[in-house]
Amino acid sequence: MSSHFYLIRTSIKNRFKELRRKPGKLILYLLVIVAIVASLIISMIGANHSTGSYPVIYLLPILFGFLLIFYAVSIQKGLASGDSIFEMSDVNLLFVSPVNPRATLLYGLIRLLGTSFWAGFFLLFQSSSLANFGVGFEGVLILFGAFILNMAALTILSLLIYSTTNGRPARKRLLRILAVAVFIPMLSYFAVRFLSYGNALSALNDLMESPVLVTAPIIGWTSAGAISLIEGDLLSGLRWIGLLVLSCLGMLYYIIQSRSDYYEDVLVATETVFEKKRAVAEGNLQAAGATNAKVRVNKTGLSGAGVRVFVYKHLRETFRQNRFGFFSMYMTIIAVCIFFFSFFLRDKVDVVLVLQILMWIQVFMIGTGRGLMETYSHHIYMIPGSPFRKLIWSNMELMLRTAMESVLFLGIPGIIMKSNLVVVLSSMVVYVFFSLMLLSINYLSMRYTEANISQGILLVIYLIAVLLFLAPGLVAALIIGFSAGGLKGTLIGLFILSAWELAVAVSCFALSRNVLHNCDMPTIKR
Amino acid sequence: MIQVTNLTKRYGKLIANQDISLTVNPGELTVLLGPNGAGKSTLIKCICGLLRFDGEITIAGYDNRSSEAKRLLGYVPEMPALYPMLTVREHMEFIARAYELAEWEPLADELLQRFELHDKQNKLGKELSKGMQQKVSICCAVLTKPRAVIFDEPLVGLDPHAIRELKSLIAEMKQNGCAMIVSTHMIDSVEENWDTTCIMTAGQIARACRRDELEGGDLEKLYFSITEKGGGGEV
Repeated sequence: MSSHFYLIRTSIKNRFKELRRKPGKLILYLLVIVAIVASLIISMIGANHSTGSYPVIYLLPILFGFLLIFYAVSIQKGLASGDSIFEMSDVNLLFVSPVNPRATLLYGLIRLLGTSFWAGFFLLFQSSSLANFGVGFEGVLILFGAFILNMAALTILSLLIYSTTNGRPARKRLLRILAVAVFIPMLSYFAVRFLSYGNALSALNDLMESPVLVTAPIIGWTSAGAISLIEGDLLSGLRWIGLLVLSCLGMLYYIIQSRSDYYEDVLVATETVFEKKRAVAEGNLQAAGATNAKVRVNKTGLSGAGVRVFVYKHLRETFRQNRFGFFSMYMTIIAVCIFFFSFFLRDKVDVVLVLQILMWIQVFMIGTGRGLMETYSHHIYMIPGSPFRKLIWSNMELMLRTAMESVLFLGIPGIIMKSNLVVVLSSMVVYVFFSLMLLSINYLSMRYTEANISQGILLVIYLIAVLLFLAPGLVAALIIGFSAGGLKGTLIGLFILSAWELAVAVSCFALSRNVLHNCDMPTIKR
Repeated sequence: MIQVTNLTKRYGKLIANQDISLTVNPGELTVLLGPNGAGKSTLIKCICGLLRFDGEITIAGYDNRSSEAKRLLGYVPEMPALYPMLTVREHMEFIARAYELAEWEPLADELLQRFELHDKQNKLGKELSKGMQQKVSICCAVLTKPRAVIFDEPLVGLDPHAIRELKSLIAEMKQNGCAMIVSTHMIDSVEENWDTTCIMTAGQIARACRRDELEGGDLEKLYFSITEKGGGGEV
């Protein structure tokens, strides 16, 4: 039997066997299945009752902007250490074995598709948001499939970039320019059409028809292919997806032909990923999040005394990690997408829609705050001081960041869209209080689970808790807001929602004020 | 100084530590020995207040979760977890500020000098090798002049110079009345300084004894006599 086939078969078999020993994992899988079925029902009901508030073509820039984040990450990875499609065990056991390296590459790609499948899983839960664009369950599945393909293509692209630019600074510089330049024709075309029509809908339709989209590799093709298929334009959809598949095959062919000994190219990435995984397993999340990027140490030193030192330490870390402080790559991409969205679609959308999208993103991004990461290190437990004060001061940096995000993501787009100033300010308050609420729910989940369960189950509990805590305020805001109607209704709705979020946040923080005293220091459990 | 009374730690059905009691007096060094999975690190984390437990742990008479106890306790973890974006010096400053230490710089300089980190003060945590991270971790733990220190596998990754310095630091701290618990697999490394030992197996203390109770003082022989059936012979 082929060693590769044996590895895949045995790994899958052992995963199922593991479920018998770990009922928690089984429950997690069952919850995921239930959520998908619920999502299916919601999207079927949604598809029957609504044609969507916005044309499906508006999904194109949203999807493109979303995939742009992954594109930027892939380019960065490719320029640094490449992307990993193998595990360290493959390096130690498979690479040194007398097996065909091409078969090993195929094995790596099959595993990559499996990883991409899980990475795109969250899209299946987007049915209600996608229903706004008239996207039913089939559409969600198309987006899911396109996302998997896109992630696989980006990983291969990353491998190719590493393989062709490693140790060649001139090529790296050229690639950095090229990576941005490829989108210029598409954006210029759209801008010209927009100026000539005066509306984004016609400009987007023209863009979809135009061959200029070919110049936006991978993410442009994925976005255009998925939207065409959702619109029912099979020929155009298959053309874009076909281009994506062909590009993957082409890149692989190039890697194999030009560097038959590609093991060296994937080794650094595999080792980097392995080190990160080991750091996570050891609870050293700080090290796991560190990048290999060169950091220039200019200003040194901290401020504050007692538990207040946490906020100054976090600010120092943030500004050292990124010379623009809070303006990280993630923040810049989101801001550019929102500015684009709010400028070109200013007549069609309002700041409340932007708020909805941001709130959804924030559910997942809140966990990246330095305060929550701090709970995985022993210092926050061992430093003398009140546990509640430690909680507050260790999250102060996150709240500052959130306040800045609210100005950047809602305040400025609000001005671009010429939205009502009070609505913009209220949306900013809703966003900040929502972040506070999410943070408090994280600590509450930690308190009640005593941080002694697997991360997957903890995430599911957290998501369910967010839904349960948000639902009463959201429902009240929608009912009262809609019955009041118009601008007054919007303002009342936003006021109710923000008041509810604040009340939930205060209650959850009060309940989890001693979490640093009463909980085990969490470790990453799989 | 360190008093553990009837400590039990459970993870669901698994009992990691069962009914453990031990006392470490001022100026004493207790060596925690045991095979992998014996529950040494769990016990240490309980003493440091990182894990919940049943039973009682006090540091100088204070509950180990109180601020008074935290102020008196130092901890060198098994895996040094430095902040990637802080320099070596900033790690020391962070601890000094968090513990509100006055006049901490001279001691920080002395420690950095002893562990050959003086020229690496502006290196970031992520730029350090594991051994260097371990040295920073040790410096941070003793900067607060603790009256009790817990070392979990402190020698792993250290170079010979640092091992010598750490041994001499431990001896000095002992002389100054600091109570210490050292968990290690390198029995030789503590032969000179140990006062009491607790040999753990399966989450329990299988044998606790003082140096003067041990004929011949051979810690290694005692260890194997308890952890390996038929090995090492009678002690």
